[in-house]
Amino acid sequence: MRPRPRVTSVRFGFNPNSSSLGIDVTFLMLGLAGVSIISATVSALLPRLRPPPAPRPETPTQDASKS
Amino acid sequence: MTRRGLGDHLASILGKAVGLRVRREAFGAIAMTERPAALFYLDEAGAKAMGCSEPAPEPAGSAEHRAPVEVHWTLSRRCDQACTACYTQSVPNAAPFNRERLEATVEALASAGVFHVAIGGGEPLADPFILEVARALRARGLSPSTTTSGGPVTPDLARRLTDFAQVNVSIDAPGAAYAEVRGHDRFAMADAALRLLQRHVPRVGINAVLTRSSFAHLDELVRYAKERRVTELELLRLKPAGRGRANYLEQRLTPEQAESVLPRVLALAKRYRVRIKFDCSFAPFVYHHAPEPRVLSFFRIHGCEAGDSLASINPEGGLTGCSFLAAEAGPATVALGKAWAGSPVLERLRRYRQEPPEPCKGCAYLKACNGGCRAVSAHLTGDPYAPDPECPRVRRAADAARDAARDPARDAE
Ligand code: SF4
Ligand code: SF4
Repeated sequence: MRPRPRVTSVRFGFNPNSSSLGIDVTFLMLGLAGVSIISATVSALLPRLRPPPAPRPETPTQDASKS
Repeated sequence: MTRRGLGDHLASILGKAVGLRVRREAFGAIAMTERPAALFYLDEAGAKAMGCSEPAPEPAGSAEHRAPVEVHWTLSRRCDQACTACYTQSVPNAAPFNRERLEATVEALASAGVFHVAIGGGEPLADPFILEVARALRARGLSPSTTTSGGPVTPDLARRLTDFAQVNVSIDAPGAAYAEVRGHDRFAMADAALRLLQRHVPRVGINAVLTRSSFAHLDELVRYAKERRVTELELLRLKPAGRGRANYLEQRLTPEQAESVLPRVLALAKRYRVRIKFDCSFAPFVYHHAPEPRVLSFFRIHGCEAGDSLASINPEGGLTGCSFLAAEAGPATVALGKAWAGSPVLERLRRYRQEPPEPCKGCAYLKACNGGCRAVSAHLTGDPYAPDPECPRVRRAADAARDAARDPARDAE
């Protein structure tokens, strides 16, 4: 049997601060029950999504006069 | 279209809607979504389930990550605010961002698979190239964000910040207390900028440096954050860097404040229903309250990740583990690529948890903490790889060692 996909950890939010990393301490209030619920939910939902193709670098347009 | 084809198509539409990006890692994969803003760490089965067909990469030295997840990019040291604790020692007449570095740096960030770039300064929003930098990052699928004093924010500029995923405004305390920490009273300016930004940027938050004096205004600050309905309030520990060095000992949190900050912040978050973040350097003050390790690990409430999930680019284009650390791993364009795994500078930061001195060695939170803030250790002990002297556990161990040295007979009993 194929192992079930699992989300092992999550970090919520962006960190616009450009000097150190932000850690959302309010999640401490959710405790282990919060971990179980969020882990089960995202482990079930996330693998159903697919990323769109990554944007490529813009290629400079060729200067026809030089060819 | 077959049922499977339809399912894949729907999965792609949903992925695009949430701004999904996935990066392969030795442990599986990391998926980032922009709406909601989150990073999900997946195991190998999760990576496969999300369509990662390529084999897992080799681990990058001692790092958990094969490249940083987040990069802090200090464009320049130009700013006219002259804040007393500025960690970059910014001044009004410093050179602006060197535009010649833009393409190569963005390419290096994108090729490495970095998800998020926090643009710093100086005052980033006063830089003539700020919109171009944000647009270039966006064009390669990265999420830019920034923090501002609010000074340069005009209605026109706010309207043009559409490439930013989030902008925070620096407000250490509301009202008259603002001047106590910054050394000048520009609260009205910062507040006006915050309200203006909220009309045009999807997420607007507050950054606040927590000092001995601003600690007394924490309740007012959280109430203000609630009134303004900000996305989040991020509290930063004062660092002994740049101009922050001069008054560090007088302005850092007292041991009592440091030990009480977590319960106080959690109570305020609950009371006002505001999302509150600490910066990574607060980690030892969090672990002092012995939180459940599985909760810490799942929500990645970690300490120092310099040179692992985090790296910084200084105005000269050099890559460091964190904006507070001077040692460079090389030019960012090189160090974000092949040099990432083996860089001795970055490996030294990552390996602390493998060979730590006491009392970190015997600490149950060593893996998550990684010894506290290297910038604080460097300033207070002269050794960036010493345990953070302000960690309550480290402080108690030092006190006990001092007592034992004073009274060796008692120790021998
Ligand atoms: S003893 Fe060391 S590892 Fe433990 S919390 Fe303090 S600084 Fe972090
Ligand atoms: S040295 Fe480490 S703990 Fe201190 S701010 Fe930098 S990443 Fe955070």
